[in-house]
Amino acid sequence: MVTARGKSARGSSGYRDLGRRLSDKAKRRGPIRLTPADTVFNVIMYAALAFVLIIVAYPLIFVLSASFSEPYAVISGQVWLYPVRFSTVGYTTIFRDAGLMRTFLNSVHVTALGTAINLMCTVMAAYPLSVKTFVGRGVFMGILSFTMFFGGGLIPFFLLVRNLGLYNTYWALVLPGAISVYNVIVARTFFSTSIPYELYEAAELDGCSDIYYLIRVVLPLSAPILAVLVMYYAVGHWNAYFNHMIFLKDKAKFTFQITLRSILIQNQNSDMMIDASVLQRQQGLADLLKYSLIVVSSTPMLLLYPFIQKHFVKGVMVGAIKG
Amino acid sequence: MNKPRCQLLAALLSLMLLTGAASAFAESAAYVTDEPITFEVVMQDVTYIGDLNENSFGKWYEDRTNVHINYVEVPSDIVTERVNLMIASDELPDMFIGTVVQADVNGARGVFKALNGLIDEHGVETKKLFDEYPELLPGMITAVDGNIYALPSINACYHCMHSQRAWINRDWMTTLGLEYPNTIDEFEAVLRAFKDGDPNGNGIADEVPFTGANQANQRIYAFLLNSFVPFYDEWYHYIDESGTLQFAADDEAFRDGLRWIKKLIDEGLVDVMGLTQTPDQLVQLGSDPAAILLGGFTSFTWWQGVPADVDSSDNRSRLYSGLSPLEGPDGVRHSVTTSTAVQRDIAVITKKCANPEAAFKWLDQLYNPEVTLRSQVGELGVNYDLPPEGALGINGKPALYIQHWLGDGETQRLNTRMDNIIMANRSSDFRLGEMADFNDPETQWSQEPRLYQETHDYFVPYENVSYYVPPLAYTEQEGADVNTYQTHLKDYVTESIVLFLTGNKDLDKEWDSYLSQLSALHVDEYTAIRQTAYDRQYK
Amino acid sequence: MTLASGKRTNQMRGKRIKKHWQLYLLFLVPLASVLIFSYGPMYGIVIAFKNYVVSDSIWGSKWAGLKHFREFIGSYNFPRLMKNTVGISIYGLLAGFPVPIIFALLINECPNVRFKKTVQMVTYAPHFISTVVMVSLIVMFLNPRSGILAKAITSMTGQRIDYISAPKFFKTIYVWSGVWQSMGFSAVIYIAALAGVDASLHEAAVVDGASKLQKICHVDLPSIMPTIVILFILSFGSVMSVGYEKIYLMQNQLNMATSDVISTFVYRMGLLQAQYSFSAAVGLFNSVINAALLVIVNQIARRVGETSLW
Repeated sequence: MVTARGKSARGSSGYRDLGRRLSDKAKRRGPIRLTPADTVFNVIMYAALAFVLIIVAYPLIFVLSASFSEPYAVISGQVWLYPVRFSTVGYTTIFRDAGLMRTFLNSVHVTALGTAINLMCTVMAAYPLSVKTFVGRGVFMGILSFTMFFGGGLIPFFLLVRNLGLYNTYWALVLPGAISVYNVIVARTFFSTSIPYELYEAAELDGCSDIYYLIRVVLPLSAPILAVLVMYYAVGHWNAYFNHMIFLKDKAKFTFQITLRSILIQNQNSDMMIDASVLQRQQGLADLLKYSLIVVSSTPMLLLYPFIQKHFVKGVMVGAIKG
Repeated sequence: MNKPRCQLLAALLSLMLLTGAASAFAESAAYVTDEPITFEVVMQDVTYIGDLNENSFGKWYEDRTNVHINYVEVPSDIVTERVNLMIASDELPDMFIGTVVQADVNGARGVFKALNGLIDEHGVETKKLFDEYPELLPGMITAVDGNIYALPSINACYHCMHSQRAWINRDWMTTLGLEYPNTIDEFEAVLRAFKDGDPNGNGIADEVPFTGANQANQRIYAFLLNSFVPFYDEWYHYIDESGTLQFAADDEAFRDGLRWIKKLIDEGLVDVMGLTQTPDQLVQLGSDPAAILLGGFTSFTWWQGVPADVDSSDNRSRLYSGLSPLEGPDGVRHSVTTSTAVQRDIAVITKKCANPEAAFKWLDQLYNPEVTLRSQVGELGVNYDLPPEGALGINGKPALYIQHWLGDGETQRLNTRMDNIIMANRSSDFRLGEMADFNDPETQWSQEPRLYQETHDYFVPYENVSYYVPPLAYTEQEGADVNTYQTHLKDYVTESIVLFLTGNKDLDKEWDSYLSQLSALHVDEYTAIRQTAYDRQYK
Repeated sequence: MTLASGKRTNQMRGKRIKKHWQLYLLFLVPLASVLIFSYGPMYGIVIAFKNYVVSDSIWGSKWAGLKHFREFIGSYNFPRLMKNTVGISIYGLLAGFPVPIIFALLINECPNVRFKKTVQMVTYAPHFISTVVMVSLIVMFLNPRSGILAKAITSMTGQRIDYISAPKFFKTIYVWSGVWQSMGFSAVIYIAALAGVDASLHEAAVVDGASKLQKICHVDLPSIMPTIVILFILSFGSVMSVGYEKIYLMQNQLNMATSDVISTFVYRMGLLQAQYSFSAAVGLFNSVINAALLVIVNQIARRVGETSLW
């Protein structure tokens, strides 16, 4: 009988074989007929998910439609579902910016570099912490957790980065946040709960070292958590702008979000001391740009998601525990 | 045979020499330094102006002054943090322009140089400014310790100085046969007519007689209270006849004003949502394509309530014109002065600058009218042309230039001028010297002419500059206290006003607790500190 | 679980350290990064106890002791700020924590792959909507005059209310719009955790005659329980850290009573001049409370179950 303690019941070899025998049996039996309870559940499940889909999709469609509408239509609240007086002026305004492509590539560069470093360092921190016999893990955990709450503030941090000679380089954006303690904790939890201890015991018996075990056994089985980490870190780097604005001096090095924000601010500037010719830039355009910017800014990350999703395939564990 | 040619040659040569000498003389008058030097200047990065190092004004000015500048640009929304980090890490440029943070505090610690000596010795244009604005300069830019750490910029934006405005639908008034309201009772009558008379003719009582939004210069109560007491919602002081600062938000007159506004709200004549709605919502209301809904609204400009002509299809903004402040029961009728031509803390020379005289002279010349024209308006033939004989400017005086505005939706980066991110002397005459051809009926509807006209006709006549409290300089302790008191007081007063107006707080029963809370929030100390600073600086 | 039953001795400990020398090497790299970049600037905490101005050095500026703390805690709106901050956080936690979990569990049970992937993708997208636009959307939908949502509710209840300005609705609007926005993104970690569940357990359950619902309750949920518990504990570490931007855009004088939180107040204080020391003091105050909460909740979790942070 499968119970809440099913995991620890896995300890006995008999159960492992049971799993294999059952799946063979299930395959021979053919498709499983649904019980009435299951049908009800399915109906509720589909209904709930469809409901969620609609309430989430509608505002998204709105954002998309607004971004392709004429400024006046947006500002007067005429856009509801589809673009009103189709216009690409929001996008042409954005793409007209000469520096945009370069900053886009810069962001890709920073995101790729940063995510790679993040991933490595997070695993290098999370895996040892997940090993129960790793002496000092409590202390190390404490050292890391303390930094989640307490820090010195922007100025000492900036001075440090500068004194290390990292100012105006991409290293300043990528090294200080090499690990996010939150993500380390999440990864550690995954390692300690999803990788069965039996595997480690078997590997130990075979005489394989910690690093070998990590690389050859743990990581291949950790595709889901690695995918999640990639997603978290990549999105973080892609959306970051504050640190970028603080640490980058050369305009040539600026990243995507910096440019996007500038475009938005420029068209939103309501400082009354500004020349009327700037105010002349339609207020509606400023409103419109907000929507176009979201579409432009988030598309790369949205395109990334299916690749992440690929790794959330169930049943990675099947066959992991063999004799 | 050679003699006449020799003579001609000699004459030509001497002529060239003379003109050469003359022009060299003229050049060297503008030259800041004989040996070319380079300074590093930190300025704002605004997207509509391209790379400052490629800017043609920058190059023109370099030729004129013999000073080369490396412009370092900082994104405009992060200026404070970046500049503070520069100061904290001691990585200073030679000058900051438009990116100055806490001039007095940092100047007192030597980060910025004191400019008094330099002004006395080399301040040709600066001293002219002092003469032009005697009641403001040099008091306004002098710190408490007597030093001037930062140079100002002059931006006499005529209409910005009276930025608390309201607009009323003249078309509706004509339809309903109403006279322009001058007193609060007449105003009430007009609003009632708007509400009941269906002026937009669609048979539905959907008219919104009067509304506003929740942002500076758009607050309904701030505008209407000026029929009772001089009131501006960014600060609450005004200076009375004896030179004493008065806090406006605890007067009995203030309470009377609130009572009157509340009455209007209760009767639906003033839109209660106008107290809290966002500026976007206001514009949406006024832009409704189905019908014209707004009878009147408070805003800095008309396009914050109804779409600008470039945006709308029916030019409806032309139906509105300025609404002067109304006359209250005690004859108070006040249009607030909201700023002055002088913008302080614009340019500083840092301690790192090795040649402060040259730097100062370079800054000083930015006030020169010719330089201002080049830096603000742009290149002759590209951004502007010279006006023909007898052409008039916006203010009716002889025009100085014909501006070529950027076209519809054009957001290409300018690199022929630096606009308002650099110091300049945009005096009133300069700004209003833009040619306006009033023979062309469309002219009166374009931006600057219309803003000038509306402000001039409806708001300036009721202005009393003596009420205005100019920017004040504090000691560090005073500054910290003022900041705390002001934040608390502003929070409390604005919240209380809205709660009073919506009936959530009772104007009779809870007035005393309101006053005692003001006391608890140090309103008296707040006023006293500002009085001290004012006396110290301007009297 | 210990390797050897019985007491650990120093000898055993020494042996274990030697055995895992590679792990220490591995851990060294991220540890170094944390020590350098997080502990290096840690001395800046003293800013909260001084009157810091940027043109002074951090050590050179004058001491202020507890002045800023006293000023903050003694300010007239402090009780309100605390109440709103904690209230919004707890409400957000209670409402927002279960939703992604339930959502992930449902998604996991969906056999139609295309539908499943579509739903995941669509719900993941709102995370990228900027705060400014998010608030614009909220205001737009709840506009009593023209907002879809507002009109729908009006037709049901017959009352026309300005929801944004009503103090009693502020937390609800704030929290549920946040749930809407982050549900898909937050569910990803649970979907990943569910992917790590041994599939043979599922099949065993099916063979035993479990319905889908029972499968969820007895296989899925327990399997991801450690993840759930850990994330739950961690969320208590940010109770005091309600961000200012969204609230600042949504607040007005009418709803101020329930919408003003610590971060918006500090933001307003800092508008006129950089108040480094004051905001540092408030930040430290928040951090101490956050840390304390986390430790307490962690202790509770340890007593109650087997999962805890340390």
